[in-house]
Amino acid sequence: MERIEILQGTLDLIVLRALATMGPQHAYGLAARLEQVAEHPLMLNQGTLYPALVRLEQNGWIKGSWQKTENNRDAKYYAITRAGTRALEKQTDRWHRLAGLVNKLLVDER
Amino acid sequence: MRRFLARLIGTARQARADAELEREMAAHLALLEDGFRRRGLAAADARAAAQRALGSAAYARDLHRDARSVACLDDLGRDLRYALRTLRRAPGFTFVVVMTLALGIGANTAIFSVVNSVLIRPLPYTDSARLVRVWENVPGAEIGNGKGPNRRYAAMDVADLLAVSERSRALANVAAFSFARATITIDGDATRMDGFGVSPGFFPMLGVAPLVGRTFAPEESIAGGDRVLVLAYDAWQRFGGDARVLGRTVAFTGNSLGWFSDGIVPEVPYTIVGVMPPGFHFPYDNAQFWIPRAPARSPDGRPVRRETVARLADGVTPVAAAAEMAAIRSDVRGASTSMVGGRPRYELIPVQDELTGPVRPALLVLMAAVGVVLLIACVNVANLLLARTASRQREIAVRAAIGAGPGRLVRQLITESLLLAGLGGVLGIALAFGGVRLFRLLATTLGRSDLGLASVFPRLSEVSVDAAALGYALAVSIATGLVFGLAPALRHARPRHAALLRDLSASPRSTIGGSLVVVEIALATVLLVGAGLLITSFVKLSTVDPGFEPAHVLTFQVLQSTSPRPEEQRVFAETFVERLRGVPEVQSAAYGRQLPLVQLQDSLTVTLRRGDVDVTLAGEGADVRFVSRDYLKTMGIPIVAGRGLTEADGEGRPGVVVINDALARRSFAGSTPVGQIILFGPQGHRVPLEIVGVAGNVRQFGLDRAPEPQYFMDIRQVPTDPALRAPPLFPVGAYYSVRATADAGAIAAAARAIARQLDPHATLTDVATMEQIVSNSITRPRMYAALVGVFAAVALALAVIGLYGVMAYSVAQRTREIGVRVALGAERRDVMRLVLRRSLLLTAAGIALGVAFAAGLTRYLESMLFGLRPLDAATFAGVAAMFAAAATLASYVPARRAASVDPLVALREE
Repeated sequence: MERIEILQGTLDLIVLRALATMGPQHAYGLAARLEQVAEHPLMLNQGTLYPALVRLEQNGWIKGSWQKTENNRDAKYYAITRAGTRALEKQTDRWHRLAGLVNKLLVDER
Repeated sequence: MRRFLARLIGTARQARADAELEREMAAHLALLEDGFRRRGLAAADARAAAQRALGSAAYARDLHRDARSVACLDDLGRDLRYALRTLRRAPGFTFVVVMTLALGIGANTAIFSVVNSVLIRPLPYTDSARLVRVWENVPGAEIGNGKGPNRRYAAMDVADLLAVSERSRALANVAAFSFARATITIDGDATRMDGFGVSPGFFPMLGVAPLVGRTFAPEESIAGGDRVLVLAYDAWQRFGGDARVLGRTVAFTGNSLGWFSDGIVPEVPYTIVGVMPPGFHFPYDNAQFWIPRAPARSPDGRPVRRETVARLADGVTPVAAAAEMAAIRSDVRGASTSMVGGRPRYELIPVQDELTGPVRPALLVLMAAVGVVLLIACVNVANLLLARTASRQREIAVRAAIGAGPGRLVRQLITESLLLAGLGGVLGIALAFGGVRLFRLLATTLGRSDLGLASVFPRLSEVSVDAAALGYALAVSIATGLVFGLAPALRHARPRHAALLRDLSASPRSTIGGSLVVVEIALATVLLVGAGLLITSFVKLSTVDPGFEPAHVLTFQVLQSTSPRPEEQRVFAETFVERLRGVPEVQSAAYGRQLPLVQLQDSLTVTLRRGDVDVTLAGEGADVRFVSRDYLKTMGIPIVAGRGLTEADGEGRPGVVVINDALARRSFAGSTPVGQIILFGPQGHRVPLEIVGVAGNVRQFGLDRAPEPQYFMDIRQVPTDPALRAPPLFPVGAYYSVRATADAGAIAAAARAIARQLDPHATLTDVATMEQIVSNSITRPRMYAALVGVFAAVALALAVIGLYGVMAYSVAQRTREIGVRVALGAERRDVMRLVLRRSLLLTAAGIALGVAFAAGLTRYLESMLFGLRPLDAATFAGVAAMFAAAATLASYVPARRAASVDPLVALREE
């Protein structure tokens, strides 16, 4: 099984994006969603996800609140904030530029 | 910034955040579990699967914590707790490490305290760096009859002094002072007071305000208005330490014709006008009072010299000021020699350098020695830590496996070593306090100026462990903690986890330990060589024949409450000694103007009568001693030819003299001195003295100085008429010496009682046995030998412990290999040889390296050595042999253990 290590700094972008498109999610939901999108188990252990959530919350980009799941369990739901949306746009922009650059380099070097 | 604030808050709200996370992860787990159950797993399996999927909760928590708080603060607490637990589990290791560090840090802090107090801390005077003492080099052509040798004076000619203080721009201030010794009767007891007559600029220049009252007004320096005095703090205490002392009058007694009366008029009232604060003793430690004394030319035109202290003008160097002084002198005198024997006429030396210069090299040597001890301590601890960390590989691997990052592991290990260093530092500071007390004890002397400044340690009363020293200890602790902690931390923080968890024996044998031990042994060798040299030198010094027999001789001076004239003093001394002889235990008693090792030098040229011609031996002075007839007997100075002084000699009898062997050999070589005539006294007043005997040589001015030519005159035959211009009989009072079978205390009590019969207020002062005086004269060599000896002993012990540790560790690691060797037929002997060979190789390398270093370094000890050279082969060889023996002993135990390895047990162990 191939492991994809998440590039430093990109996890924040992925989480923000997921929250922006799917609405408020708990950590389990986020993890499940990421695995699903990645089509194969992304090596995303909780040790990576939780610090990212804390980081984003400290930045004021997401906000967590305790709610009930559909199965009536307690879970902390995270929602993207206005500042988070703005940050997402900026980060997405930067990502595209960076990805373009890396792609170009990789293609040229081949 | 916002994140940082959030983190700070996060650090503070640790517990709540942890609970929150716990809850969140529990929820996560529950959701996962639900998921697995939906996919059809049994409840228990679902839980397990969920847990697997969630991963290491502890690791997540750690990372989470890192993310939300200022990790270092938070970790520090946990690391410290963990480190404490770890250390408590290994009390033996902890004890050895902490003690090692405490010794290193303690010795360093103690010596730094001394260096700081003596060399670094400025003297307690305003802008003291600009205060200088003036030395003058005078060509022989300007001395005596114009044929004297070049001399170096600590004092200036008053005529030049006045010209300089008037004209100089390079000097902001000039002040002169002169020593005065007097007696004051306080509460019925005659009390000696040493003081200084000081010029008007003296107190303002130093900028120290009096504690009580005032210092002198300028007009008080003029004769007649000068009957005022300022007391030192300790002298004030003798007067009761009360402010009402101001205005009180005291009368000095003493010999107004002595050298050190400094114009004090006995028996007239002097008014106390002020008291200086505690610790103020400028210019010398013995200063008990000051009187105003303007430097003045002598009425008969003879040059008068005054010790001089000056304050440099802002930005002026001592050399520039000295050049200006020489220029002023030439200007005033028409012409003058500006260079004397390759040195400038004047030399200005900062007061602090002047004071501490003699001990500076030794203090720097001591500082280097403790530096080496600390280095060895660090190396030793690093070695112990390496060995221990290696044996903790499994623990470290486990911690790494459950999620500790390499950074965390390094931090943890560094925290442990800093904690060890901190504990060592605390204990070290306690040791430093003890060490400073020991230093002061070792450096303490009889504190008598008449025994010379060479034994008195400057600023000793100021030596203390102060804030600077504590800061130094802290810095040293942290530095050592980092130094010895970093190596093992970096080496082991990236463990090859998997390999280690599987098989510990796969770790490679350490060679770092070996090279560290070589360094350690080399450093210790350097110290041991230094200590060996100093100790050998001290032993030589203390066993050198002083030329007299110090045992059972008590010496003292008697202070009288009256002011007897010289001839009256002699009568007093005769009567006093006569009565002392009546004490049953007294074998002999004598008096004289000096004692051996008392630093009063009267070097007079010797004039011989050859036939009818008087021949003055140019440049050949001899030291004259005025003694009572029993002096040689009392001191145990042997007569090697002729006879000694006897009762039958004396006033009105033909003049006689006993010369010493050195004078006989120098001035009477090839002839028999006994029966020849030498002449005493200045031209026109010469008195012929017949040489009646030759006495043995006495080391008069220090055990380390070769005996000088001397002659002994019967004090009854010394002229006291001032017109004859003979040197004063008792410039600092008579010294008594008593040889007795009873102990010193009893004899002193008997002497005091006899003195009181003659003068109801008389007291004994400067009471000391001759053995004490001899011992006092070698205080510094003893202290240096003792301190460096202790440091070297510590270094040796640490190095041997280090070697033992490395050998024991390597034997423990090679148990299996040794087991195989034994199983294959190796003999016990072979195994022991194996271990001993390695140990001896390390030792030999260390000693060789150390000897090479020492050979380059011992020349810095040269000035501290007596009777041997810095490259003394015997000392070097002795140290090497001793070290080799100690090292063999240290490796014998591990070698024995290796030899007794049972192959069956060793092989089964894994």
